[in-house]
Amino acid sequence: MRRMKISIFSLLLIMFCLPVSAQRIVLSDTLKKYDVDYPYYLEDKDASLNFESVVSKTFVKAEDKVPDFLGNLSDAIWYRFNISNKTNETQWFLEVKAGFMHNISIYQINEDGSVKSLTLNVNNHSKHKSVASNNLIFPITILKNSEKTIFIRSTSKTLIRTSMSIGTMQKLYEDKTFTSFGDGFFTAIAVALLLYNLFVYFMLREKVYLHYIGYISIAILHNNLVAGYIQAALPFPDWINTTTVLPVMCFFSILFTNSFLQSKEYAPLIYKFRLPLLLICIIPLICYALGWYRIAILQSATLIFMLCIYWVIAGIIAYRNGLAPAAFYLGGYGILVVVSIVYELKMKGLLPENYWTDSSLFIGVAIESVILSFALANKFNFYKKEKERLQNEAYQQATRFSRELISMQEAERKRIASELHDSLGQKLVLIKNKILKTSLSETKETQQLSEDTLTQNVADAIQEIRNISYGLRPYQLDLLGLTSSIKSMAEDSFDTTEIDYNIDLQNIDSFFDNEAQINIYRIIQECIHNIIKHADAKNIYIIIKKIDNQIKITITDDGIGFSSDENKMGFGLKGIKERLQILGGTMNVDSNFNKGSLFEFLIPLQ
Amino acid sequence: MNIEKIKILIADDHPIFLKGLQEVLEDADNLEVVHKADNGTDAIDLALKNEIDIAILDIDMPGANGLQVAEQILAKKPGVAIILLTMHKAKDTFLKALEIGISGYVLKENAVVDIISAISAVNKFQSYISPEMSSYLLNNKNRNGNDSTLKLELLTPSKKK
Repeated sequence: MRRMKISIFSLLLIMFCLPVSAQRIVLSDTLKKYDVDYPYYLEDKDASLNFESVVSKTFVKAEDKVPDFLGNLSDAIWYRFNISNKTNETQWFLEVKAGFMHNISIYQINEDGSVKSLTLNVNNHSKHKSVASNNLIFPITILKNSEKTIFIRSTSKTLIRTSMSIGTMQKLYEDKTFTSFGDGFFTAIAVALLLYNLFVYFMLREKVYLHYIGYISIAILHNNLVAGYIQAALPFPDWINTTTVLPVMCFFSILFTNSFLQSKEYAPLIYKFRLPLLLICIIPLICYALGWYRIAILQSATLIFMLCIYWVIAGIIAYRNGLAPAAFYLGGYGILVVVSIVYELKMKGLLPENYWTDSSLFIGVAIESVILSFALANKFNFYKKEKERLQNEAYQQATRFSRELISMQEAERKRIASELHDSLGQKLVLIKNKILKTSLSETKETQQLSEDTLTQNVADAIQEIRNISYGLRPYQLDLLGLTSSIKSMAEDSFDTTEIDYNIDLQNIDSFFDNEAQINIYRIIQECIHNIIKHADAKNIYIIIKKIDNQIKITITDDGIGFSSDENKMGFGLKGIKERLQILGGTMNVDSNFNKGSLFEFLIPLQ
Repeated sequence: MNIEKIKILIADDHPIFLKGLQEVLEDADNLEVVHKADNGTDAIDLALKNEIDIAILDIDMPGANGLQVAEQILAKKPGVAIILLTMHKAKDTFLKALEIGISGYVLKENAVVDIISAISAVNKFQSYISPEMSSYLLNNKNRNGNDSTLKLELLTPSKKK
């Protein structure tokens, strides 16, 4: 509130000074800061004017509170204002919030006409400065009830935006403490999230995290460069400045936008524009390298303005196309756009100058990094949930299959049990009774007769056991190999039916291990079983061929066919699929009603 | 009685059956069980290292099955007569055995009756098949006419190379 009052006060002052056509700042309170608003300036097209020639020239009043001379291609800008001191304090300071500026010279003309000049610039290290700070601070000694005329010359390799204010050291120090704390605090938030996302990147190896890190770190760098902190703390080369950093930030923001919004899928139009935009990012850098500083900063500013539109549209498109996290994205970049507008409005004098507007870029980047990092965490969570869901699904599928397997096993046991009990058991009961009966009979002939039938009964029992055992496990696989086993099985199966068959097998014994062999055997057995049971076929062809490095098994019949609806497939077909999956093979089923059916299996060699 | 006895190797993984078989064989005067094995690999070792006249082999054995054992023995010692003793009353197994070149195929269920006849047939360089096996083979004619016996080469692709 106090700052606002100051602004209004200085505004009134300026209005009061208007008729004189010179800006006059009256210092009346040592605990107030006096902003040099709407300054009078002079363009120096090729930076050729010197102080002596400027004194007599006419200055014009700026339309903005703090003009930024964007689009003005002059190499140097001169400012002029008068200071009049009504207080007892003689030591005042001019603070220029322009750590990023190339070169600023101040000329003080005393009432007696003597001139004192001082030049400060980015490259001056602290020991050359009268006051070491991120802002450029010029001491002004002014006696009570006296007046001074101040001339200021600014040149810059980037933006010429000279936000000037006058105050006592106490006032400047007090304000500085608050600002530095705030800027440091918000920078720290962004840096902390940067580190967090760096760790996440190392964990997930997802490019989007890297793009976030690139974008936020450059944004932090940009803010600290604009505020002059970095130049004050580190010996930084002056080519790292707003003009060169902004395009890099834009570059990463384009990458981040596209990877975060998955624009290829959710916003194809945005995706199409990304390459030309990335290329445009290089243009300001080229201009800067060629020494066209004023053009370069104009391009950087235009680029960031274009990107504001790009971000917002990208976010809206992706959100509309169903990408929920795009809301976070819009929030994050929306904040950045809003604070940029706030900052510009402050510079134009439409918003009061206070900490919140002054450091709005710091706050904006901090909030943005929080929101985007929250979005990334959300995404991380989403991945985790998706993974869990898939795992769960796989687990359930496995459970379902093992349940089916167990019930199959039980059915099989039941079948074996009933075979043992009903047929073999009955036969043995019969044998036992015959033995009992034989021991009771008297004549030699009847004894001989029952011995013969007994032998036959036992032989039958042995055959029964043989049938059961062969049904459980094809003995041929161990004794004769896969090819012969398949052949025998097919022949034995069809010999008991009315089906004519034709079998053409290449020898494939040496291509598969035991487990694969039994799987192949069972697949063919299941097909044959189904054909005999359901197809009502007259002819069947079984062909096994080695083609390149896979085995092709073709089984065709001329039966009634079936609808190849996968949902209706029984456990037999499911079993075939499971076995085929283990073998890494593929299946092709073709069947039409009354047109027979074709099963084709391709199994890769091991 | 100084007649040289026929030296026999028997191999079966069922100890009771092995013992029973030995008793049946040694009841005959001219037979002598010189070696016993309870698995295929031992059977091969014993047959190759020692002098034997006849090897009586079960088909289902751990290590190497009877067919493999027979193949190995015949490859090195073609003079040894092989009698397979088996539960398998199946055409394919029989054909495979025939192809290897065994001299006798005896069903286990009839072993007590058939084995002595088999040995004496083999001893006269004749072949022997259990009567029950031959009647099974004759009854089980292939309907389609594409009888496996006619396509023996399908079972022996390794020998076509």
